[in-house]
Amino acid sequence: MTGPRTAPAPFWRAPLSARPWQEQGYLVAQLVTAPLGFAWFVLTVALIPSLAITVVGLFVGGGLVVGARWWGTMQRWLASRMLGREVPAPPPWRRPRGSFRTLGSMLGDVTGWRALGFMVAQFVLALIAFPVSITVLAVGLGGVTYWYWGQWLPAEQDADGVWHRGSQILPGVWIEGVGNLIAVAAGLALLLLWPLVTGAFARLFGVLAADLLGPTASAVRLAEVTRTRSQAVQDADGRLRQIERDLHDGTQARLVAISMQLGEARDALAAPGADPQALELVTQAHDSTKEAMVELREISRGIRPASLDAGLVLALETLAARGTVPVTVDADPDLHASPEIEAIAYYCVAELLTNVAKHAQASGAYVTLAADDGMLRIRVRDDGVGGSAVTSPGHEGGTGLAGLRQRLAAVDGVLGIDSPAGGPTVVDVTLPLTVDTER
Amino acid sequence: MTEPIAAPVRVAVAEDSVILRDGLVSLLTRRGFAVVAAAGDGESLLAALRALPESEAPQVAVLDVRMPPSHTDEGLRTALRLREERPEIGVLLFSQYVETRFAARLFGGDARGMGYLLKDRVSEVNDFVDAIGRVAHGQTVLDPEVVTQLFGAASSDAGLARLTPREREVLTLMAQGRSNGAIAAELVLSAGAVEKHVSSIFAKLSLPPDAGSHRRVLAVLRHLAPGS
Repeated sequence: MTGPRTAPAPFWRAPLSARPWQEQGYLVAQLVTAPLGFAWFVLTVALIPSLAITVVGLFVGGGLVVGARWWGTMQRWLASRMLGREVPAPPPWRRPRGSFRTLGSMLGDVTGWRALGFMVAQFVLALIAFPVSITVLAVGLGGVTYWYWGQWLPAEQDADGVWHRGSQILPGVWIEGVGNLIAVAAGLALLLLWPLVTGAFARLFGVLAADLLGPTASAVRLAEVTRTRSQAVQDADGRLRQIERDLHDGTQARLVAISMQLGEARDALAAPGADPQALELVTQAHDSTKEAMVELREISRGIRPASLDAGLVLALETLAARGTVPVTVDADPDLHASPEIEAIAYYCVAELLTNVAKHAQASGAYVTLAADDGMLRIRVRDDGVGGSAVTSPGHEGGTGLAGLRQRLAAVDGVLGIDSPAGGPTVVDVTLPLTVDTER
Repeated sequence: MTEPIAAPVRVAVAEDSVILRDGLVSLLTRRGFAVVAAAGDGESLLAALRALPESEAPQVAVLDVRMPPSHTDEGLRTALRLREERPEIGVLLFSQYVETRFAARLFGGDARGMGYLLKDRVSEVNDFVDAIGRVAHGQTVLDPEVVTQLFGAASSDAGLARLTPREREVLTLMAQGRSNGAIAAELVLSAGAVEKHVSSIFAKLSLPPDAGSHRRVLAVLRHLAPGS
């Protein structure tokens, strides 16, 4: 929000610079907001045990815990605007599926509880910081100008009967005459001290905000690991696509050209009077070139189907049309995910349809795709015999579902399977639409 | 092939692989075609065609589906534009893999002088050359694989499910643009038997029975194409 703060002014000019005034303003804001935050904390702690009788009540308590994150957001904004201290935001709260899991995640939200902790610490600190800093400022200003306003103080009589015009700070000690000079000096000293006081409290609040309102060290590390993993997934997909394109542009094109020439040569040798042995050789070469083309196309499809370049839904329709079991694909043709997600989704569906063809004895399969809330949801349903289970990859009779799970896990995707004996089998795959590097 | 002094069929080629493009050009030239334009992508081909005088305009354009810049469906888009701007030019699209939706879009309009073949078919030189000739003369050419996949995509259709295996064979050949006579020869049937099968197919699929040869390819395609 605010740019990097300028270098601190030399101490004799510090009271006239903007910084201590901003910091004092921040301390005022803290004094105003701290009681509200403390009330929030007390309410949360008091309500959770008493509302625990009803599940709905627990949701209210959980809402207060998660809601404390909002307080953290507001406080990070204050620190950024008024102190120039940037505290990175912790990872956002994500609602898991299922209401009891949601409840657990709300009540156990570490970020929310840390924000509640901030509320308590903020309350204590604000109650000290504001009075101390404002006293130093007020007494300092009063002292510096005492020589002027002291003359309007009412005259007072001391115990010894002498009349004085000035403040009595200790019994028998009056500030008057030379004392005026001392008062000005003391006021000046306090004014010079004031920026140090506000600065110290601002730093304390800054440390508090960074420790309690920022991401934890493990969260920072998790974000870093997620980011590098996403990068690895993207890199791998990019390399595969490059290999596939090189094969298509180079080797495959060359093979097609060779087979074309061999086809011509064969036709020329089929003319009467040509060498029958040469015809046989060229025919063989032609046939094996065609086989090589088919093999290479299969390999290339295994690396990364070219149809994926035209979009996931189109690629799946192509895949569905090739299968032995009739497959219906139901999806919005404009549905799009990032390339590496589309590749993983494609292989999942391909693997699942292979399973259907191999094990399910189904008469049809249905693939539905939908994108909502940043997630790609895929359902593969068949009307076969059921009884599928996740077994380890390569396991005898295994369906490769464990391998799929591993592959999905690389992008935080999940696979759920419902396959009672007797069927039908429903497999749900959920994965993020993009491998975002922000989480 | 027996007409002695027929003018050569004029062909334009768009293919991004230089090896394949050169191969195609020399093959077509040897087989008596006149290659009037050869380009590496759809835009260049369209530009080259605009530069040609009317008398040298190609009768057929042979297009690879997957070309630069995006390597997805440039060929298809070029084909559709060509159809719009120069409907008199036949279009033969060829592709590495069969894409039913591409086929559906390509044949969604006027299917006359349209073809869609797998790249591998090029190796059967005679069939390929024959296909170009058919497209040049306004006929429709569909790869057998495309037809099979269209059947696969539409297999849940109740009308198709009622077809007998023999009727399915006849329908496949019809979708490839074959005439009744050609179908009879292919399946070793009498012409009358083929006619009986055809009218039975049209009745089962609720298609107009009086459709001519191209219109009936179209009707069959419309019926099979997904999403139509």
